[in-house]
Order: sequence, then C-alpha cells, then structure tokens
Amino acid sequence: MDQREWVDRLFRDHAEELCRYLRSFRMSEEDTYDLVQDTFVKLLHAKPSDLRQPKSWLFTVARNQAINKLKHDSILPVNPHVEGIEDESLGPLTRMLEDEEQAMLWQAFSKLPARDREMMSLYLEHDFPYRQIARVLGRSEVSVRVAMHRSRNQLKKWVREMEGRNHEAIQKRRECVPEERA
Amino acid sequence: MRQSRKGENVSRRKELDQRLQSLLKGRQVPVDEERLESMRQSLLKQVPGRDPVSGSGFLPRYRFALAFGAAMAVIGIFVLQPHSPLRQGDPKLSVAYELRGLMKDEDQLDHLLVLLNDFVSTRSQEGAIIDKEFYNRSLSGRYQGNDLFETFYEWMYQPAESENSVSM
Repeated sequence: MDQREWVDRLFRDHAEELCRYLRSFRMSEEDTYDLVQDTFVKLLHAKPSDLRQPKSWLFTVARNQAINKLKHDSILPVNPHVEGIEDESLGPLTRMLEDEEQAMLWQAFSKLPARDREMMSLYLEHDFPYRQIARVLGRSEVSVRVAMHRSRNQLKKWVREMEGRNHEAIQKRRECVPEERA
Repeated sequence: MRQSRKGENVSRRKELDQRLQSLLKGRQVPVDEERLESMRQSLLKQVPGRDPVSGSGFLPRYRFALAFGAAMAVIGIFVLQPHSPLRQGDPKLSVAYELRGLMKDEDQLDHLLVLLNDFVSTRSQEGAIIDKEFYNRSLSGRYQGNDLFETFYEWMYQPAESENSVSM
C-alpha cells in the first residue's frame, strides 16, 4: 500500500470520528475542521516509528492541538490534562432522552469530572483500548484502568440515588392523591 | 460464591458500559461531509511518494531484505567456516584465518595478542622472537593492529627452510 492509499484509508476511517471528538470540546465548527486538517497534514510528516497506532496518534495530536487552541483563546481550565476538557454536547442530549433510565444515566455521566468523561468516551464511543487511552491522555495504563473502575462505581451509585429519589417522589405523590380526594 | 459475585459484577459492568455506549454513540454531532471530502482531496494532493509504514530512504525501505541478508551471511560464516579450505592442512593458516577475522575489529586487538602468544609460545626460539616483536609493536597502540597482522603474516609465509633452520 503506498502512502496515498494509506492516508486516504486513514482519513476515511477516522476523519469523521475525529470531528466528533473535537466537536465535543468547546470548539467552534470552523476550528474543528481546521484542526482535523492540521492533524492529517502532520500525519504526512510524522516519523514512521510514531505511526504504529495511527488512530491513537491522530487523536493524541488532535487533542493536543485542541488544548493549545483553547488555551490560546483562554477558555480552558488551568491544567486541561488533569481537569479534562468540558464536553458541550451533554446538555442537548439530556433533553432529547425520553427513556427515564437513560436520562438518569446521562445525568450521572454529566456529573463526572471532565477528564473521566473524556476517558469513558474514548473507551466506549471511540473504541480505544486502555493502553491507547493512556497514550492519548498522557497517563499510565494502570491509572486509566483505576479511573475507569472508579467512574463506573460512581455512575452506579448516582443512578441508584436518583432511582431512590424518584421512587420516594412517586410514593409521596401516591400518598398525596387519596388525601386530596378525601 | 466469590466467582458468582465476580461474574455478577462483570455482567453489571458490561450492562452499564453497553447502556452508556449506546448513549455516547447516539450523540448527534453533525459533520459536514462535503467539507471533509474537499479536505480529503486537498490532503491527497500533498501526499509525498514515500511509503509511510516502511519509512523513507534505502535502509528503512529494504530493512527486511537487509536483515535477512545479514542473517544469512552470519549463518553462512558459522556453517561454512569449519569446511573452509583455509582451515584444512596447515595449522598456521587456520590461525591466520581466525586472526584475519579478529583484526577487522580493532577492539579485539588484546584478544589477538593472547591468541598469538598461545600460538608462538608453543613454537621454537623463532616463536619467542615473533612474540616479542608483537608486544613491542603493540605498545605503540591499537592503531598498529594492521601492522602487527602484517608482521605475523610475513613470519607465517616465510620459506619453510628458514623455519626449519631456526628450529634446528
């Protein structure tokens, strides 16, 4: 496979996904496409030894560029590598969800720290294995595994709490109805 | 009991992952496909003609062929060396053959000298002279390695009569 075919295949496989990933940050549409283009241009000049995992390479470069851009625009937390990047697409989806259980899960997910959300998104949405997530986020694989485990537990806990509150609210409403009729 | 609890945890984890995955993948983030297509076209125009995976340049491109060639050469040396015509017959020649290989690497000069010492000390008075000559020359440093080898060679190829005369 020559380089033209190789770049073409990578672009077809990952450009759209990369757009979605970058759009989930506080990134304008214009900036998103610019960053995707810059990332693929960098791919053309990358060292072959760096490209053994091209997908994680693309995400790492795109993420670093996004962080630089957001830093430049002064809309990032002090240390985005630690605190993560805010995902803007969380709000609209919460409104779109009709299923109560899904809505609760999404609400719980929105409460997670941005860095944990990004990590879960890379694992579940972009299908990265732990090792590559560690590479993209600049952390160790062990810390990613531990953080994923904790995030899952946190999500379960919050969902249980929300279910409990909902259950109580329903009970109260039922108790109130006969009183009103009486 | 433990296993079943663990299994339950795993299945709960899977269930949570699946639910969250369907939510995350279901996010409708619009992507401008026309724009991506034009980006792809412009990108492909910038692609240089090298193979990215095997790398640029002669060495990265032919690294497998080179590695195979080197491996075959090493195997060849080890397999064929015992059957080499140089190794048959005159013991001097076999030592010379080994020395020739050693001298390619100047770092092994010390080893060479040890080898020579072993060789010449088993010989006659002439051997002792040669031995002394080697060590004298070696004092001037490793750059004299080729010189030493030439001396040894000269000694080795001198006429048999002189060797006999000395030993007598």
